[in-house]
Amino acid sequence: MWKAIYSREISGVLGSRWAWTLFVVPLALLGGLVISRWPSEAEVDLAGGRSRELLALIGYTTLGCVIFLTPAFPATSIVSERRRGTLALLLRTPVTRAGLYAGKFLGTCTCILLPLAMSAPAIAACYAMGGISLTAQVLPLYAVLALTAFLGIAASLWVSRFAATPGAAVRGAYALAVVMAVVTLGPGLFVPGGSSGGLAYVAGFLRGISPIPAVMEILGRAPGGASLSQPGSPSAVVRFALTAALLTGGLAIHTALSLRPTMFDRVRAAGAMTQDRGRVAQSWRRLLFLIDPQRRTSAMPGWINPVLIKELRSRRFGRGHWMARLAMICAIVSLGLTYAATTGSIAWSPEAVGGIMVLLQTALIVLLTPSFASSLISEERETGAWALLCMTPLSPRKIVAGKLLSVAWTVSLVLLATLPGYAVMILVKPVLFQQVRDVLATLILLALFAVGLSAAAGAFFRQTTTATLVAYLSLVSLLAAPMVVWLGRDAPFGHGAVERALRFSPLAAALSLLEAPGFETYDLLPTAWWTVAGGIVMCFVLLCWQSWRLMQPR
Amino acid sequence: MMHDLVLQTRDLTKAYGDALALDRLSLEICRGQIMGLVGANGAGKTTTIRILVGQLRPTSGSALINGVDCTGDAARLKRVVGYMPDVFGGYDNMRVFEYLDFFAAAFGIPRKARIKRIDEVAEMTGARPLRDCYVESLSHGMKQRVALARTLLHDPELIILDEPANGLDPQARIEMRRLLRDLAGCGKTLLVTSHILPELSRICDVVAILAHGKLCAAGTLDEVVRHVRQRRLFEIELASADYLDVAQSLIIRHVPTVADVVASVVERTIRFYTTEPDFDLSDTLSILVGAEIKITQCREAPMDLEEAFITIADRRADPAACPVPVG
Repeated sequence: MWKAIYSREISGVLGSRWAWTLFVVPLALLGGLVISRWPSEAEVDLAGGRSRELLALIGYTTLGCVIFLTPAFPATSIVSERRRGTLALLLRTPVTRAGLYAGKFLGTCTCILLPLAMSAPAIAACYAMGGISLTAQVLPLYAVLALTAFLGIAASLWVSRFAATPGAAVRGAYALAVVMAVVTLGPGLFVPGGSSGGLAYVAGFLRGISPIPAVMEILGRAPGGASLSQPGSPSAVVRFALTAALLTGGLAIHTALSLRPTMFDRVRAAGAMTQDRGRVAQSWRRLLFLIDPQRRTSAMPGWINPVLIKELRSRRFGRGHWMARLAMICAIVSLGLTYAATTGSIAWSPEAVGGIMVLLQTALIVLLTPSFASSLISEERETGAWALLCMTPLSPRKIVAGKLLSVAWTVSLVLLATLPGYAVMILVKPVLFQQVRDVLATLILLALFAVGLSAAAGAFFRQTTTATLVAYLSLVSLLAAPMVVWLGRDAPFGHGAVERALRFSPLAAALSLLEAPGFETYDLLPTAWWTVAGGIVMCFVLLCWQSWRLMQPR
Repeated sequence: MMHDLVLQTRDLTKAYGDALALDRLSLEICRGQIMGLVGANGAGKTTTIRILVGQLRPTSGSALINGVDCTGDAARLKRVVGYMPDVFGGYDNMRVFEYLDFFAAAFGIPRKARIKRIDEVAEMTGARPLRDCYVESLSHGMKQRVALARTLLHDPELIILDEPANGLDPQARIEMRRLLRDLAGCGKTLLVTSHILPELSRICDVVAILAHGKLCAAGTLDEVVRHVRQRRLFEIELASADYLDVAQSLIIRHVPTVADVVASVVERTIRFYTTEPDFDLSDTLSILVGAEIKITQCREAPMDLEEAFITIADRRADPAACPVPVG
């Protein structure tokens, strides 16, 4: 029975134009890289340096593609079926839960492994150039990439099972992908090498979830020359293989077991409103909640943009009590970063700590912004609420402003959370004040760019899922593309070419300002600011134009 | 009187390339009237509504609502029209009060007046007990009530309702019917589309039947039926079955263009059709009484909106059929 589900999953994905676009673009990118480095003169590179450099470039590009393409397909697989009602039908057929899950998992695996196989000609070309070991580099690289794909699929299907809407599933799956690949490296960076104890163990386990250290170990090249492996610890490849297998199995079992007919018995009761309870209960709730979610809200004030309030109220994390929790979490993270910056600045250098903070902050911006901003208009169009909004006297400018402000508020909390950490850096090394100020300005520009790009990209799609997907892929591609060029610095790309590429990246600008390892030699400001500012203006103009166009009679 | 006209369209046409979605539609609705817009899928109902609410631009023709041009004055149009589409358009995580509060605020109603107005419309539509419920957790019928409350928030002159009774249970339908009649009683003008034709015929003062983008019939239900009807069915019940043969022969002899005369012994009834538009039953009755036939009941079988609609649909499907006059 699982074969029917498997065939349907494959035909569903491969029948989409988007899927083929996503497959063909990385293939073209890798082909271009190989052609650019293919020996044109009659000389033999006996050491194989050129092919190793190229393999590293292809390896990281393929890894990036696997990490960011994987959630695109399985994220909506279960939730869409549930909302269409076909999952309920499937669960009433003789197909078992394991069979249902296996069909979906294997179907998605085939779709993901297909573009992975498309990188084979490029890697074969590298191998043909010489200097690369099949057993020590090529096969382990493919094993790690395949495990990354399996883990990504299992995680995305798990998110899809528990998400309420396809849009939320895509957001959740991408958030989890970024957390697993990038954020898990964060704690390990703050644990000094050779240290032991609970914190080091947790940091080591988390680092094992990310495929990046494993790929770095295979390709023998760390971005920026930094090493993510700890001396005396087991091989990063082995650690990742074990962790990925464990997590994939665990997530798969949990998801498969949760696929049962009772999953549809979910009623969302209005619950008793606090105002209708007794005086004692009211006082208790006020004390416990600070902002009581069951308290009847009053009418919105007349002076405020109603779209802003609507956006915050209709978003689970935009509610007052969640905002308070988010602010608390940011305060705790801020304290943690302050502590890490203090200890790290003494153990390493403020520049290295600043670089890590910029990377983590960028990861958070990339993680959060598209999930909030991409569905601002597409969700309204999908649910039919846009037509109602068009029937109100609200102007496109007011609608867009209200929506963007609701995202800006949340993103600004993320930015504010790191301020104390930067303050510590300035205290340790006061000469860094100007650099930190410029870094913050760059990060604000990055946040604005992320908001503008996600909102503008999302506004062109009717479906939230597609909008979120396109927003994530656009943002990640635009941020990752200059960094891929940077990875190929000196070979195959010269200093000038790398610098020109990095001028499009606010992340690179922030890192170069802090003189993070690998970015010291690039002079990116103020060109990078102007480039990003131009991008922001273009995104906002595009967003306003599309909103205005959507409100016009057709 | 001209000032009583709330909706007036003149030769409203919408073309998508070569396909005509709407073909020279001319409609008028007076204040306080309820007009039912009837048509098969793809007949042009939604196109008409979308032009009236300013979401579509007509290819030619004009539409005025309370003197406001539907194609030119979007800001004023939004204030005079209330539109309830067939999709709810809800927001997750919002309670009913917050949902209504947002739309009322979007219409610029001041805070104090807004709270009062939300109470009024919630009371009017029966949505008051739903105030604290999350909109996504409402049943279809409840959503219809909330959607109607939302439509009434800014007190529009013309209320356009797309399938308001769709998915409602019988009790909710009765309530909806009563509510729409009450609104018309308050001087509101309503344009209602529905596929439930018996429902429409109960609430509408006037109906307009669309087919393939053309207006086929418009007017009161009686007028439309009279225009649509080509064969009229009459029933005469006799005191005794013994008179059936005599009565049948008299009817065949005296009724013009008579057809399908059927006598039922069990029911003591004669049924016959005539295509004569000015046929008067009293003449036939005089002849029967003159022949000493005792009659207990006689009537012309009424034609309802459903029959009228099907008759028009059948004629439209048959290109050779004669055009239906527009009332």
